[in-house]
Amino acid sequence: MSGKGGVGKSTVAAALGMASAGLGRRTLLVEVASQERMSRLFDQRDPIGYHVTPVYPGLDALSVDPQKALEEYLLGQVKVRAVYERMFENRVFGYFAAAAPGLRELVTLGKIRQLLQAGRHDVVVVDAPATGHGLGFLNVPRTFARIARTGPVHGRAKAIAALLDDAQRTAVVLVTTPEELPVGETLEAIEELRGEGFPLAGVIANAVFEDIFDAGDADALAAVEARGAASAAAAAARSRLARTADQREQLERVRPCLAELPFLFEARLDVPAVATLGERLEGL
Amino acid sequence: MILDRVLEGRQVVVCAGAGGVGKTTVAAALGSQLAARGGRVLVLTIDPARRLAGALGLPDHGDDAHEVDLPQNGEAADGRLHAAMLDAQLTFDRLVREEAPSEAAAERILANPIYRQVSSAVAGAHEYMAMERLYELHSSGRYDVIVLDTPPSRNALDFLEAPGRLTRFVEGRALRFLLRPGMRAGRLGFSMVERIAGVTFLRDLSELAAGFEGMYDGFARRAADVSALLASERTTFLLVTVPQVEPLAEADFFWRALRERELPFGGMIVNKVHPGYVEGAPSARTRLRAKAKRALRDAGVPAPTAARAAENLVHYQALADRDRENIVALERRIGSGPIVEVPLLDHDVHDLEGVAAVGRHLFDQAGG
Repeated sequence: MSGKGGVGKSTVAAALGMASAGLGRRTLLVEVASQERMSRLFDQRDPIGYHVTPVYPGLDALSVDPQKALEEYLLGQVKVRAVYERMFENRVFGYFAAAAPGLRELVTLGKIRQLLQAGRHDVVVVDAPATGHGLGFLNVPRTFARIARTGPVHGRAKAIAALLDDAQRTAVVLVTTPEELPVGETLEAIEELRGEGFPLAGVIANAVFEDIFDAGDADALAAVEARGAASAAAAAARSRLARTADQREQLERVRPCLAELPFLFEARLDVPAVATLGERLEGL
Repeated sequence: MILDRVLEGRQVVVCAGAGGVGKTTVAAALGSQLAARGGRVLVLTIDPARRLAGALGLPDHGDDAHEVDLPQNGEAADGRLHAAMLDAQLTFDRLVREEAPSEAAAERILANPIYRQVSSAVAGAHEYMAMERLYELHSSGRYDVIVLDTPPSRNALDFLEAPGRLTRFVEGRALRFLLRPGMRAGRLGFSMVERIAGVTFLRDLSELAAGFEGMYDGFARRAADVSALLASERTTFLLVTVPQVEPLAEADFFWRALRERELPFGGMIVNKVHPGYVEGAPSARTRLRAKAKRALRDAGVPAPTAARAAENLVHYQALADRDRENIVALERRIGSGPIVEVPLLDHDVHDLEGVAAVGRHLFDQAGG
């Protein structure tokens, strides 16, 4: 799952994870930048960290720390701990890690592939970096397969790229809000994903204002001139009418969507609130 | 008013914050207001949304500065607003051409497969190239003020540590080991990298290292210069956020990071604040629905409409109350640092008119 920053991508990823678990699929929710949003969303007392942690019935979560994923990968390659420890202390190796800036993304994706292969989960929902960064993220295995033309990195990068390219196993979902700039970025991302041949599943529109007023309401409220609570209510209604009209226009640019999720007025995005969003995603 | 004071005499204004909070819009709004006050102003944007880039007169490609047609630019005849977009690849290529000892040496680096990978849109490249471009434009002397929009970093520290990383990247003490595989540490590192990455990768890396030889001093000097510029009184950092919990937590984190590094913090800009509709404490809201419904009925609004409008008012006011609560908590945390609020406008901001509206809100405030 990707999308412009600030559109509620993590919340929607969590909701999709809950919906998937609700349908009896063993689901793993993965965040990739150690931001620990999932531990807050799911009211975990401690950070989730680099451990597969149950957060909801049928749903586990994991926060991938790229550094740890890299160490884990290297340990698997080198096998002898002493050699591996010397390697981490070695400055030449440090330079190698710095000179290959996509390496962290590569081992993060490798970890995800490995978790799928372990067979404990049927579905992995990845809360990927925002679009721009997000597409770079998907491209990393291909790039690595190209620049490391031989050797273990080449083979591994190629296998990860094959997983991401495979429409039977991977679905890229873009999250947007029905606003001009996020929708514009989403349309650009769609173009890019198609051009690069990634399996795009579609768009989920988030934070959509329900259309509670009709044209008759608008006329009746426009006539209100009284002061106090009546004019406040009329002003709030006018603001909502303007916003829903703009949103409708923006939604048309990305429709048909996989789903349209309502804007939540709840004071706090807690587990029940996210679960209501999840219910709307069960058809996917 | 408060921003006039904060920005007085600054040559570099850095707008930082989480993704999606409106950093580019705020940077453009600051730029247009500063230009209206009569300076030569440049807004340097990083990966702007296409619509906004179009509004600023920026083409799809290239990183040249373009003059922005301000709606009301008549007031100050000598004020000019320019906008430019960062192209990390172009910036890095120019840097290599400038610092390489010969043209042939530059071409060797530019053609290296690892260089292509490092310098294009991979994590981190944007941050340090933003710094390099800032350095380039600032030393050109063409602008009185440069407003820098920052990349939507996953981590605020990526950005603050970019000049240091650029230095380390090319400093190359470790690189030199690679070039002398006869040395013990070099041999060990060599064989390790070879085992993991394969021999072609290693050859490309060695060639890149050879290419960078002789350029370290130039890179290090530039990185040191840009670090000094950012830490000086010529610069101010504005943290852009929206009044929701997650982005505020990121702004907090950035604010602490600035303090730890003794970098000049100018203020918080809280964008997209939900406006309130009624006065008084949130505790008085319980009867708001009934009160609004009754008042609307009295004003002649039909009952079903009145019920929906009253319900909507309660929801909208709750958003405003929550934003207020979050901003008050922010004030408590950051103490005397100024906070400037920009209300959520009824329509999305994606053109110069919207940018101008944000600009008016930014500068009209006495500040907290």
